[in-house]
Amino acid sequence: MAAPDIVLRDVTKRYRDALAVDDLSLEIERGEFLTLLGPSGCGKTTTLNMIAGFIAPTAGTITIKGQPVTDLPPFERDTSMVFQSYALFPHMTVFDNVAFGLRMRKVDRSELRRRVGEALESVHLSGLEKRYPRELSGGQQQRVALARAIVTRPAVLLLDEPLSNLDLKLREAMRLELKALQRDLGITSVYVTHDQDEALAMSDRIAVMNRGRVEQVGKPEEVYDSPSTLFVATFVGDINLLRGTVESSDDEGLAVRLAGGTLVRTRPDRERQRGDAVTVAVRPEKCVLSVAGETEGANSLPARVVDTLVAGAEIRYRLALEGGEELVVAALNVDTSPRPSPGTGARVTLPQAHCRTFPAA
Amino acid sequence: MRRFLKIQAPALLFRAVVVLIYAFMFLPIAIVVLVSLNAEPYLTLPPESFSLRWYRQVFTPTWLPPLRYSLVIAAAAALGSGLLGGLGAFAIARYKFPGRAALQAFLMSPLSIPSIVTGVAILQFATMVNLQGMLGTPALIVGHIVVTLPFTVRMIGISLFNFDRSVEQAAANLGARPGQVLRHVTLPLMKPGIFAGMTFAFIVSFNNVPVSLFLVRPGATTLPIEILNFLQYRLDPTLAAVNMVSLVIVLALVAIAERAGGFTKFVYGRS
Repeated sequence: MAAPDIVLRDVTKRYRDALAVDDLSLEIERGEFLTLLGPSGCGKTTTLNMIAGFIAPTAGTITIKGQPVTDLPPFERDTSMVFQSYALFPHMTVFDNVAFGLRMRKVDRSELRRRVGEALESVHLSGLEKRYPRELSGGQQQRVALARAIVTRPAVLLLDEPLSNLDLKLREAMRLELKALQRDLGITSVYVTHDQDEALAMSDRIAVMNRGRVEQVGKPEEVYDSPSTLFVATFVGDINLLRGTVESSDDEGLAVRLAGGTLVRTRPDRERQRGDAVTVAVRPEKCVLSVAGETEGANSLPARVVDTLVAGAEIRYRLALEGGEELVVAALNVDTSPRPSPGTGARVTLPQAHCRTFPAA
Repeated sequence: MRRFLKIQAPALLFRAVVVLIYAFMFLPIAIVVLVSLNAEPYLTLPPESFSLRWYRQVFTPTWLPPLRYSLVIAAAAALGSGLLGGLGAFAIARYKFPGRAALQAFLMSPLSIPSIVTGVAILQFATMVNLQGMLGTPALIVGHIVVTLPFTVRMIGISLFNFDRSVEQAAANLGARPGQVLRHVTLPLMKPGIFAGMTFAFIVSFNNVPVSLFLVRPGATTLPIEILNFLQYRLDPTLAAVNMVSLVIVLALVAIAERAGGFTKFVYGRS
């Protein structure tokens, strides 16, 4: 296996009174699309700017394609950035914007024309070469920024929330297009976003960041299905949280007594012991809703429907357990699913395999 | 009727006010035009007969040298003010250093000091340090740079404060060295502010009386000083003609600067 394209080792960025990035280590493989996902202020953009060379780390080293770049200025690094604001040169035409990086590399005229043409074609902007950025729509400006970044065939493509200024429909279309382009070019990419849907849809791997640290790195399904911390569980996707105390723990799983008295069985977890205060986390779509009076199985709990919300393809039920705890269950909006109305009783099954425990927050 | 009072009357009133304001600004110029075309050697309105004889007076050794001298001084002052003001504005906008606010206040201070005080001060300073030899052209240029600095510092400063720094990062990211970033990105984006500031500086210098009054040498005076001297003894339509000629020259220069710098959008906002 080839060496990783980007290696961050123990990278720390300390501002006068705040730790922006705290001892972060990360390896990004050749051709991989890695997303730094986290809330604003978690250090994801700072990390991206350190890879690009706009910010110098306080400690740690950064290597790109085997070359230590920690002390190199941005213009000597083989990275291209797509900025959140696009940062197009307002005084240059689309052609000159895209050609800028090639001119800095002194590429000769005929090759420059050809490569700019190819780059614009790959983002479907052929024919707009003579326009100025202010004459383009937001989506078109975004494509120019992308073309300008890929035309130099950089070792690494850095994307700083590039889709956040587009409206929803366009954003969703651009996700697929951007991902397809990245795969075609096989270019190693680091993508920064706070939008978990975007991260799940586009990434090969996601690094979830919080307070300057990486909480979990993994494939989208790993991060979603097997969150390693409560922060990851709540930040990526919706999740129900139930507070309780561990009653017993063995290889079969934990028995957790919720505050309201209900007993819930969860996945085994060697780190929890009898008496520990824990939070049980279970995703709404993993819970199964059935009508009251059906067979009682493991974790099949009596509940009352508080209200329902039809959200397009799914219906979300807000339920109250007997002990008073509330949780949300998402069911597919299909004719075969039971549809208890608000105020009526129901049963909800929390599959043990999907109930995870975390230390109580 | 009600509709008229509610909707049309305020609109008509607004238009009337706008017309009056423009009339107040432009009628004096119209009067100067009429006077300059008057054939009689005294000021009458409306003129009884028309002639270009006063314009012939302008193109004589009385008026041409001061006109040329004023243009040279104004051009030098605009260049010097653009350069120094640009550097000052750049330092203020881009760097944090002790005394930054003080520097800005200092560069803007000529606006709040009566120009006549600035003129006297430069004259006294030159005398104190035994640089009387500097009086005349060098002192005039320096004096005019001082009084025009607020305009260039402010105009160029605005162009820098409105600047999205990420475009410079983008250029560096695409392989541009700091000098190349400055040449290909920063300076082109500052250009409207530089041209606007230098144009103001040129006009302020060209019209300046109070500073020039103390710094000119006999035999080489600027146009406003020459007009002042003339006015002390005579009042005839020659002055109107002189004004018209200099107005046309300045307007032409402003138009050229606007073509080169595109600062109308900068001064009046993007359309």
